Amino acid sequence: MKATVLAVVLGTATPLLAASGLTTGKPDIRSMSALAFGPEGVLFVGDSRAGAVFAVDLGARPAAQVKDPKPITDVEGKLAALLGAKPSDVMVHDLAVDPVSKRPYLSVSRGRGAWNEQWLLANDVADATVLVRFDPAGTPEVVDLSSVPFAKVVLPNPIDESKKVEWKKTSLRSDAITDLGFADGSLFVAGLSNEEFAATMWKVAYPFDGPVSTTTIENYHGAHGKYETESPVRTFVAYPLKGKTHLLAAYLCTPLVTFEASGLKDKQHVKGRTVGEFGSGNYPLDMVVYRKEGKQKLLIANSNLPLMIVDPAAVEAYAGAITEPVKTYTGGVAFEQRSGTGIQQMDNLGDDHIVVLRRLAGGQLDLAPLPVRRF
Amino acid sequence: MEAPAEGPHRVSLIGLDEATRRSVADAAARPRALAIRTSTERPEAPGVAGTYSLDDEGLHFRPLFRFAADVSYVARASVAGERLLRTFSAEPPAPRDPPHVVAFHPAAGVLPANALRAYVQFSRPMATRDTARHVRLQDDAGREVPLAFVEIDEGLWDPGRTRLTLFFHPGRVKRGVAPGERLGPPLVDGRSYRFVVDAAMADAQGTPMGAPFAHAFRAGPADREPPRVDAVEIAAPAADGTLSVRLPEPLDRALLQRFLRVEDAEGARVPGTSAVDGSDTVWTFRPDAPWRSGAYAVRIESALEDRAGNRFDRPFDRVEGTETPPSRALRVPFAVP
Repeated sequence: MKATVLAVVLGTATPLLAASGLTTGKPDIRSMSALAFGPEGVLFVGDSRAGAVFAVDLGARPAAQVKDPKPITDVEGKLAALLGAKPSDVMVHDLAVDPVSKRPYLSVSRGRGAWNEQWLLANDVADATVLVRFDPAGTPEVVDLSSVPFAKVVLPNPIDESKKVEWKKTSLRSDAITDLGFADGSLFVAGLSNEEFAATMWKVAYPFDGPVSTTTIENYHGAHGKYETESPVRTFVAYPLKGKTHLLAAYLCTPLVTFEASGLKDKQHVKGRTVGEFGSGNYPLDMVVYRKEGKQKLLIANSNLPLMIVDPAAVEAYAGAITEPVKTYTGGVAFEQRSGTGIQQMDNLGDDHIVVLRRLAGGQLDLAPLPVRRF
Repeated sequence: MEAPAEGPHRVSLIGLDEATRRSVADAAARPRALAIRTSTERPEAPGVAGTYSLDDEGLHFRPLFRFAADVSYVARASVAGERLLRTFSAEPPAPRDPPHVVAFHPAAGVLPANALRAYVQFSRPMATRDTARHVRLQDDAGREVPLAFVEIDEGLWDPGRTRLTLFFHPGRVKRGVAPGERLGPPLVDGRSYRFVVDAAMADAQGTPMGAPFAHAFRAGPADREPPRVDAVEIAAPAADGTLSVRLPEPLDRALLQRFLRVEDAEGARVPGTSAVDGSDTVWTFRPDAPWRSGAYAVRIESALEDRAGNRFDRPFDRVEGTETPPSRALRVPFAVP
């Protein structure tokens, strides 16, 4: 999804990973369910199958500036050529742009035999086992993880493989980790646990040398008219509201919920504040924060609705919370719409662009840098 | 090129001269010497990802993923001023032989009219989806017997998904219960039946059986008598150490594999392997270690049932005061001389 880094690293020097506790070897990653870059260009990989998060040092690499970025066309065709498969047999699970080299990294799977219904997400269909990056010429290469400095932290009590999503007949384990975000020295990991209330936000200090805190979370879904504790966060970002770090999280059908980060304490159950209902029958797929004309905005990509822009100032100004059924399809904080359907993944590419992975009307998947001025 | 349907894949450049061998000693030079792509039409496409190695035989490329049968690959070699080009695909996988039913139990031609369970053993793990739609019981006129089995959409499978357990609807087998009173028992004494698994029943990979399976049997009188412990016959171990236990009547095959065991004089379990014959009336046991002379016993767990659900310690259902009192001792002693 994206690197939710509050301060994007824009240094010119070769980054030195100061983090201790990394060992060199082959990380035993089973599924690259979610990717995010952290401080000094460390790559976090959320692995739902293993119920673990990895921090991978991608090594010294020159810092790059973004200049006139070009779209990469036919992403699936190129990945298929790289993996020796048909384009219909490769799938992209997540996208993260390296804040140092500005190169896009994708987690990719080969084979999508399990696809059988419209609400399946990539992680429901297959396990991503390959990390791919594109060079500036738009050529993909497999990132060799056979011997890299890395650290691993096992999450306590991720949801069992045997638990099923009744309405889509999949294992809930695919949603053990749905998104990652780094803020205030910690990695926040959204997903599902075996706790009484399954929806969970884990917090892991980085470097991974401390305990993992587990907070179960719930929120009111205005479209469903009830409090939900089973539905996982689909995408979130860390953002300061009134000077305090909050997590702004979006869920299926599409409530926007805020959680104050300092309130996410170990072994506690926390109710979020539902500040918006942005339309049912929709997965919010990804979220980024961008800056235009000196103001930061939140951009949400959706499975079935257009791009949405939310002004954090409006969230700060919104005093209430949605606690009653929303009968008008949308409600709460106002949002703007922009064209941009078919966008599955997004990340910031420098200050002036957001790179999107999008399914075009003609069927191709491309990776396109969109200038933030168009929003 | 080695791209068999089974086993590892590789593309090798063999018979290298010394100069060529030196030129590919540097790993960075290897992709230029030997490159594999998915098509000739798109030279800008990246090469197939994989690893290179150099040994006495030559330069080898092993793909990250096995080559596919439905993708055309081009291997280009460029060594010592010579260019070689080969197109290839992986060998298609051998057509899978369809799955089939290995056995149906109880295998006897006559089943008690109040039979409780049946087992269908398949040749490999099966798709469990909609199992109930693929199995049925037909009467002698070829009509489906409605509600013959307890309907469980995905069926009751063993963990390996090769054995399907069917329950004749207990509400129809047990006397004095509403469905049985309304519909009558699924099997009627004296009538003939066919148990059918239809041709669409598929294995876990989706390969259907292709041909239906049918097992014909007749329903006999209902069995409402518990099996009797005093009718269990144990023969002394044979020369190869195999102990044979003849049961008073055919017992439930799956339960036999779990609820019979051999104990020594102290009551400790004797480790070994057991088997049930095709008629479900003879249980054999071979200990892991040779028998020692002394006292042993065959232990019958009370959960062991005959084909109609009668246990050694009580019948499946009974009308008060009408049946023989069941036998109680669940340990049958025997001695090894």
